[in-house]
Amino acid sequence: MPITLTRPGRRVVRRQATIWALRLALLLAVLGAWRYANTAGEVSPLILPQLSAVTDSFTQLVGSSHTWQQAGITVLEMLAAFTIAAVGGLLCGFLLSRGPVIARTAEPLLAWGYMFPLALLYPLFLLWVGVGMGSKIAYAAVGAFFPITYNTIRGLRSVDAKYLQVGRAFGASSLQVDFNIKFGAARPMILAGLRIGSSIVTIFVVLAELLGSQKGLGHEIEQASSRLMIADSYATVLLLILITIVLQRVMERLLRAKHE
Amino acid sequence: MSLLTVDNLTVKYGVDTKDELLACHEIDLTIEGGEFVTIIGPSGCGKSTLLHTMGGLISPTDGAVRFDGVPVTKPNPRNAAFVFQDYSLFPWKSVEENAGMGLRFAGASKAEAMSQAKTQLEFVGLKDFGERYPRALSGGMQQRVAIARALALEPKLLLMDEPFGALDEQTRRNLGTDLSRILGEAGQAVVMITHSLDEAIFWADRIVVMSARPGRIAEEITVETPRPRQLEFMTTKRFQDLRVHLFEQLEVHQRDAAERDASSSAAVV
Amino acid sequence: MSSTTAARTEPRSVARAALWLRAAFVLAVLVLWEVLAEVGVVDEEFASRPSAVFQALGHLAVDSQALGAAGETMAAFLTAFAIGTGAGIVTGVVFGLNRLLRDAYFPIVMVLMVVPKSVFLPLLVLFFGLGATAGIAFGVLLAFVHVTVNVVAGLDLVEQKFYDVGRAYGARPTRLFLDVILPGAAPGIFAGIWHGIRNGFVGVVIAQLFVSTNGIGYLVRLYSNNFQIDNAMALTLAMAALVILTGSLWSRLESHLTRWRD
Ligand SMILES: Nc1ncnc2c1ncn2[C@@H]1O[C@H](COP(=O)(O)OP(=O)(O)OP(=O)(O)O)[C@@H](O)[C@H]1O
Ligand SMILES: [Mg+2]
Repeated sequence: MPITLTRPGRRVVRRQATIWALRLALLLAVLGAWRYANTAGEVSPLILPQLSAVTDSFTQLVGSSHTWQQAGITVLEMLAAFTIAAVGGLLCGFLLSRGPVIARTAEPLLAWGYMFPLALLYPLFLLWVGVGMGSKIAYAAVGAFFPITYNTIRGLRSVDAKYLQVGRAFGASSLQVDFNIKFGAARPMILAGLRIGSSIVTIFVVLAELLGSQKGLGHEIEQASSRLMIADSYATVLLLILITIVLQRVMERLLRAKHE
Repeated sequence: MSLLTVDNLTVKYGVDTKDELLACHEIDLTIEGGEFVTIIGPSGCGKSTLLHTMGGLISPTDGAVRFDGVPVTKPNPRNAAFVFQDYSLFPWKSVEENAGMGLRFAGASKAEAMSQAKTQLEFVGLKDFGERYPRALSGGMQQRVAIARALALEPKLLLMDEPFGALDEQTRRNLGTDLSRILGEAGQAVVMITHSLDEAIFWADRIVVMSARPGRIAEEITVETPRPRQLEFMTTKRFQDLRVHLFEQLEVHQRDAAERDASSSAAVV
Repeated sequence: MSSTTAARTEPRSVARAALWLRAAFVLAVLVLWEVLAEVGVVDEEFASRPSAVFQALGHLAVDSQALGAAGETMAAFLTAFAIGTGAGIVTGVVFGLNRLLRDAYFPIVMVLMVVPKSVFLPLLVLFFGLGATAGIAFGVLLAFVHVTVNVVAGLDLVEQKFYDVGRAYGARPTRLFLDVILPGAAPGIFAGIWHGIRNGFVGVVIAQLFVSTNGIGYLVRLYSNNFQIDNAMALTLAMAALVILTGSLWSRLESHLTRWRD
């Protein structure tokens, strides 16, 4: 990529300004509608609390060690589930990709596993594994395992023949072909699988905490809603969203290759 | 003894299927050490097939290829190293890693591969680009990396399949002049496929003309003018005569192919 | 010629062998499960067994409560799918055609894509109550986000040169849209609709499972809590079969409609 060292031109600046103006307009519209609903629209504060109540509640949450404890549990569950799914999925994908028959056998099964509405199994999961952290981790890891494995197999099996030819021409061993060529070429597909997997992990962990749990931010949201502490509920949702955005950003950083 | 001999070579694709296709037919060819041989012929006549068989990427259906008298059964890049038309650099590896990758594949240690890669990159004039990734390089630069990758093995023979095919005229010229210096210094024998008449003559100690499919050797022409040659060589009578001759030859083979295709498709209908 | 480049398309025999192996695998899992339940390694009360599940499937097929629940779920799904996918396609096309709006607002959709959308569920329940509407709203949300992202990706696939050809020949915007943009973006739009189906369904079911007092999701929760594992599993299996079948049919249709691609 050519790197331009000149300062951004006037037009670029003007464009950026327009973009931010548009975003600001949306934000104001939302806040305005919120305000209106609180006052003239007479939407019950049990549905939509005062904006100020939410911000107050948010500051309070951020200052409390209890919140961060719960957040720590949620994050830990997410990281553990993702690590298990990623390691297991990459390993299985790698092994399953090594023979044409076994790969063809596994591909549809994994695709079905991904399409399967796993959410329906959660009540059963609770029966089998209990309500502790383990069940959340296991559940989310199972959900993420399928797309990660599937994409790994697909990626490894659709490597451009011209790269494999170079390997053969220079006498690469089969391990060298795997690590220097196939994994390199399959990288985009594998990363896509990991991204899908990570988003499934966050969804499933939060869902599991909402559905049946005594810990974690999802549980906090559930508690606040059922006790009608609506402002807390909104504030916790906001916090959870911010945390997952940070997690995703960190992951993107880690996964990005130098050549991209 | 000759460096490489191709002995009564026949290559078929899809043997015993309904798509069976005779790509090379009873080819005899020898390459001497340090010799520069260019191969020219109509599209689809089996040039790449011949080259790949010479390097052990394809096994002969009949006949044999021998390197230093030993039959070639699989690629041995320390004997004969490939340079592919579309460079085939790995986009996920840095330029330096790419240049060293051939050696790594051939079993060298990482340290050895990297130091050779540095040397060869400097040799092809890309010393300052080792840390970059292929996509940051122009087509001509990428092809130099591919050449460095092959030279790193210090092979006795370079097999090049239209190495300049994807480059524009100007870049071809420049890279060509560079390459003549590089190959002159390194002293390898080279077999190079090309579609350019000028390249075929300018480079060659010997020009191999192939007929339309199934590929046979129609003619071998020796170009006596010593290498490395100056660009002025292209203005000599000898060069022009050769050019006209090659042009006519290719015309004939191309027309043969067209007529045969027309009659065979008529037969199908 | 063992050393030639491997053929891209695998021979038929591979596909056939894989089919048998797959069937054998599924069968083996079922048999193993049945045997383990029989000898008591697997606790039948918690995990049921295949024969019981298939039996339950037969009962549920004529059970009015189950059929009613399936009807409720289907109705909610269709509504969520229609709204979410429709809105997603319109938004995606607007983003695909207007650079400014896209730069301004698409990042917001991308953020929605990565945050766990299940956090919105409690809030949707506040807004819409415990009835079917919350489930529909959640299905709409899920479908909308995925459809939008895929449609935008699909429009990105249309290369600039095709727009240039259109402009060079003076194509009107509608012509350009119908003959160039839409077919070019078809793969993305198809993927988008598929995600609309899948996420619309999952969203509705999750909401029913979590909060609602109707539909399949609710029934599965009920069965699980009452230790009617065979019923819970049979219902889950039926739903899974439905989704997977729809998905397979859809990809058939898709490859038929986008034949020009290869
Ligand atoms: N892997 C393969 N399987 C089947 N047929 C092939 C294969 N590779 C090449 N062929 C066929 O063999 C014939 C010779 O191909 P080859 O690539 O050697 O020609 P070429 O002279 O290099 O052509 P070009 O100048 O266009 O590169 C062609 O008809 C081609 O279609
Ligand atoms: Mg060729």
